Amino acid sequence: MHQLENTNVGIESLESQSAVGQSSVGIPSSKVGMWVFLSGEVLIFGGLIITCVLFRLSYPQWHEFSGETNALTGSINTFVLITGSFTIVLAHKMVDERNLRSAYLYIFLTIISGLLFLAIKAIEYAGEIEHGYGFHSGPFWAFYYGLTGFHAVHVFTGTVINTVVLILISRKKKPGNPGSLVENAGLFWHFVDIVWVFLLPLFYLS
Amino acid sequence: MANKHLTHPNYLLVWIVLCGLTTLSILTSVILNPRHHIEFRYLAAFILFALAGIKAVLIALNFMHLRFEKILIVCAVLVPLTLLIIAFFGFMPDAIVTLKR
Repeated sequence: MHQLENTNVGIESLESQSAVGQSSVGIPSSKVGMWVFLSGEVLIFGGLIITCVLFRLSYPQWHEFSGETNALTGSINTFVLITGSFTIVLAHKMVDERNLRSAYLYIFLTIISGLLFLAIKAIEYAGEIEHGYGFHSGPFWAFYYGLTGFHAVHVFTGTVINTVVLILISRKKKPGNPGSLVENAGLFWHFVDIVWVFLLPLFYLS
Repeated sequence: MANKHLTHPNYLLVWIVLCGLTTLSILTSVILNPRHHIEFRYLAAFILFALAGIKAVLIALNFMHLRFEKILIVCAVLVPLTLLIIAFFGFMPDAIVTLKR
């Protein structure tokens, strides 16, 4: 009987948590979901990056090929992504401070940074292909196009997510918690930024 | 509600430091260019990846608010990272053997 009462209390507690979107550990469910997704992404990108680093260790000619990539565009893109991370975290802060007008502007700037990154990347790829370096030009180029291409797909996805978030929070009928939406979109964007931070020395600078 | 108790650090300062570290990476690559200073190629790679690691930690702690998160969220990041480190050092002997050939 006593055990049954405890179970009922447990169910009520779970129901009240789900009603406010909280997991049983007191963290918003959407945020837990995003972090679980990101931990999977860490394994995918991390696995690819350490494979690349190990290959580099056993391939002394690596620097000769990395000298052929465009370090200038790679460096500019780093500043673009870091600035995008800065603007999306400011958007999150503005939403928390109920300053939605500034939040819209910062999310818009983040979308622009994503599009700018993709445009620079496209110019970079075009230049490299023009010089005869394609996916099948050797192991370095296979890693280069594979990893930077997979990363660019993530930048595109992040840009689409940010656009959807901007549309959702700017509609008259607001979603349940705009702060959570912006925070989760920002988490994905920061992750994409962190991946690029490691791709820069791997393919452009060393 | 989700962000009621969230503290926002000085994001401008973090952004300036990140830009500074990126500039330092570019300068390191120019000064210790492996094409001209082949003897420094491993030193340059070490410095560049160390700077990348510092930048990643800064982004994770400040922009992703990991320094304010509960231990469960921190574990969601640390567990896959630990597995990757084990995998890296597990496979490294094979890479070194290939290098010596």
